[in-house]
Amino acid sequence: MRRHADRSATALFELAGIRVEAGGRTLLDGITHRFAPGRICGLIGPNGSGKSTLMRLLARQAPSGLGRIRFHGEDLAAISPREFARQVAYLPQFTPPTDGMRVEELVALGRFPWHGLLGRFGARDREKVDEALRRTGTGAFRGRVVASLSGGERQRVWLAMLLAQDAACLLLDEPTSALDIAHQIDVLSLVRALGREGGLSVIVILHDINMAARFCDDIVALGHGRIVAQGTPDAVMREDVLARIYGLRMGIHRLPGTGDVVGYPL
Amino acid sequence: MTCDPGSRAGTVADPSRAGCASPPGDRAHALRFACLCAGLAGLGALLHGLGIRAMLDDASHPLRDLVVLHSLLPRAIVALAAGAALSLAGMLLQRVLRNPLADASTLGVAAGAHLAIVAALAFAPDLGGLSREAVAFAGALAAAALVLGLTARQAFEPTSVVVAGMLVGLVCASASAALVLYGGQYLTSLFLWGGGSLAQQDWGPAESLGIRLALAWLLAALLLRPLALLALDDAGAGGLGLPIARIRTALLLLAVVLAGSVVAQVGVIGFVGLAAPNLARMLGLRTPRALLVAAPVLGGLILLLTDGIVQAIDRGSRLALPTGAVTALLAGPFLLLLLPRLSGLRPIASGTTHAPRSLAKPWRSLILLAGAVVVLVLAGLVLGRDRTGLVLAGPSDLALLLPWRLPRLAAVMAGGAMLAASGCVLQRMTANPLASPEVLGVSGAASFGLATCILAAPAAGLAAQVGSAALGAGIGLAALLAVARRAALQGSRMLLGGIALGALAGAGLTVIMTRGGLEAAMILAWITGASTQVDPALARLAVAGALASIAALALLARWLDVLPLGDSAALALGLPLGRAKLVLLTIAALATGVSALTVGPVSFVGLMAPHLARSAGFVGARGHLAGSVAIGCGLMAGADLLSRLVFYPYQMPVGLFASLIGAPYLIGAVLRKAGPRC
Repeated sequence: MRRHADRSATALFELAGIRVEAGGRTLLDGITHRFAPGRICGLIGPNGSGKSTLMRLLARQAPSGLGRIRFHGEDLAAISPREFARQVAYLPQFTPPTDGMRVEELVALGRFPWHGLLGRFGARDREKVDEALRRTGTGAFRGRVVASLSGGERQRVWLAMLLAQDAACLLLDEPTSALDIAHQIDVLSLVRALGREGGLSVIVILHDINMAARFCDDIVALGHGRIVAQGTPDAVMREDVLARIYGLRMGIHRLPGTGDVVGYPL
Repeated sequence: MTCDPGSRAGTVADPSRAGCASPPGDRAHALRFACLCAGLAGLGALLHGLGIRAMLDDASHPLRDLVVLHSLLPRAIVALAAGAALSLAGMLLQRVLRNPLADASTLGVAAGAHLAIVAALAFAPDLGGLSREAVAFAGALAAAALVLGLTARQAFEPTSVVVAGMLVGLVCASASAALVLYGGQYLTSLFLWGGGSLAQQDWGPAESLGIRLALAWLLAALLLRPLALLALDDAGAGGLGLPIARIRTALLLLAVVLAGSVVAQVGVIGFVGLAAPNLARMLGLRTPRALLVAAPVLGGLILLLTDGIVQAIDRGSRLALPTGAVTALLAGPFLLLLLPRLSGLRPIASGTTHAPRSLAKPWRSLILLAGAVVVLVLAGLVLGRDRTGLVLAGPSDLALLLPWRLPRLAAVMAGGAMLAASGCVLQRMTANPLASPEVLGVSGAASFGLATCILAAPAAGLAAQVGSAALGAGIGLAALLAVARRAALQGSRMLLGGIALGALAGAGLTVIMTRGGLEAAMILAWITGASTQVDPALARLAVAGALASIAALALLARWLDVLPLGDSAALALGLPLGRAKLVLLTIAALATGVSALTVGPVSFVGLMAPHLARSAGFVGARGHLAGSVAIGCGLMAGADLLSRLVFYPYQMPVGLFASLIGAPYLIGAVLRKAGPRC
């Protein structure tokens, strides 16, 4: 049932005419978009623009509204929960409390979609857990209690759990929202490295346009439930486009050393 | 991840402000409210007027004028005043705790006051020179302090407050029942009074309630501005220069005094304090000033109308229903009605920051625990007591005693194991350390089924009694599952649904109990968990149920591992969320129903055992389950042994004894964890 052959050909997610309303407000207003596989896509936009709603739809965390979503050409709702969890891993914005669980135990939970309720936790599962710990650099505190870690370390551990899930697509809802700037860079570098090494598709919500421009291959900007801009960072980091996204006069500056572009409000 | 209490408290305040409207809208709301009140008042006056008319027309009654003047009229006034006082208390509590479900009955305040009066009358009938009101107030205050202390660490998160209130209320009720049971016949009337009868013999209660209500209302009116500020979160209100702790304490005290004096005068009356302020808010009145007027008026009228209906039924049937129990019957459905309004109450990251240690080698502790249980079982089988002291049964005595002791011990241990297992499931499923099968309502429904059977056919055998209890539990379970499905299986709402069910069953039970007599004593004995004799068949049933449910849960341990992470993470991991929760809830409820047959509906084991296992360091689901079951077995074995030995030659009910162990544990937990988050 998993179609590996035509993976690269079909879009990762294909959305057509997505509309979501709640409490008399339109949260998403006719989104049509193709997310390409194997790329890191940043989802940006002001508060209330519908970023999280869209991501929750993609992660099947919310009941779908109007419109159609296809995942690798298949109807999103038709995939079984376990099969979906094997292919898509989702990190919620607020990671839940873990109540005394150790790092290793939490990461091992990522294997649930593979071994299920009664299956054996076998050698392959153990291998995947070790690999996830190694790749995220969390092996050193595998025996520690998750709640005792710092914010940045904890976010790494959750990423390790997502990796152990062995899904080809990661959906990350503001993974850096509670982190200081050094740890933001740290986590996003890790996300990019993981994506590149494993050929993963990543869709990540980011608050900071400059972080998105620096770490993402594509950027999709939402405003009032619609897509207001999309494209590579170079295409989005322009004064007129930024003004459209944020409704502010924005200036841009190309950094001399790296060639990165940063935007700032004027 | 900690969530700052401020932002959560902010969302809590939201539902109450849902009906934001412009000033012209406010006027329309006020008009609508006035119409409703006029209607209620008209109906209430009509019903009471009919009652008075009927009495005056009753030519055979020689004292009919006196009855009207000194019984019926004061009764109407008491209904108005009590309803108003309870609504005012409810409105203050809801405001102060930012919890739309707070009320004298959901906080256990009323049950605490009731217990204090029952205990005082049982042990010191002259009340040691204190007035009945002072005793009631002390009880109310103790219960409120316990509930709030239990939930202070969770920043008074609304669901937790209600769950803790339910637990404290349950213990108080079962302790009162036990006192009534042992106090003999003369205290049974107290139990009826616990149902909240509004019958009056003079104007005394009307006067004293009226004066207290007027004073309390004036005080509350003086505190109007702080009340408005309390809608903000603590940081916000504190930032505006409000001495939060002092204001909050003052308002809480005021509410407790009000509720306590109502209990002292007329007994426990549920629902009104919960309903009236919420109804007023649903009608669009939202400022504290409007609520301060509207809630007491509405509450008084609701109680007046209810009492009118109850009197009308009484005249028709000569039942003498207690009004309080009838109003409480309405509480269940009303709580369910409120559930959808609580959408802002998602306990995101409500977990505490401190992480209990986790054991490196849980099996070693498990072996130790199992050893302790075996020792307790042996002690329970061979230890006895006679006039001279402790007696060890020899082999010859043992053959004689075993048929008596073994079934009972097996039954209570199986009951403890099942309660512990369901408690473990519920605590993991809702990520709420206060969740326990006692609040599921299933055992309440089982009691109701049993009570109905005893009432309908007092001579029916054990099979019929067990069958009807099981039927009651089954119906309760079905209702619970329906509620849970409607509430999208969200942990906190499931708990509230269970509480509503429990309140409904409890009120029904009180109505049945008001008939008094031998049946009432039988039901009382069962409520307190008096398992002095256990049928071997029942013991076998309990053991089989325990083994089956524990085996099933052990197989489902992986679900239990993932569920504490919350719905979002569980969904992301591909867990069949709805199915998993339904299956687990069904197993927990079935196990609770069966255990209720052996240890009675209240014992606290389901709360304590998983909690103890958790703090002993059993983190993983399988370890947690095994630890809880072992501790549950041990607790019940210990309670069984002690209940036979301590009060020789009498035997304490095992369930009650277990809750007597549980209550200090709860209090200890409060004292130990007294944190800065108040």
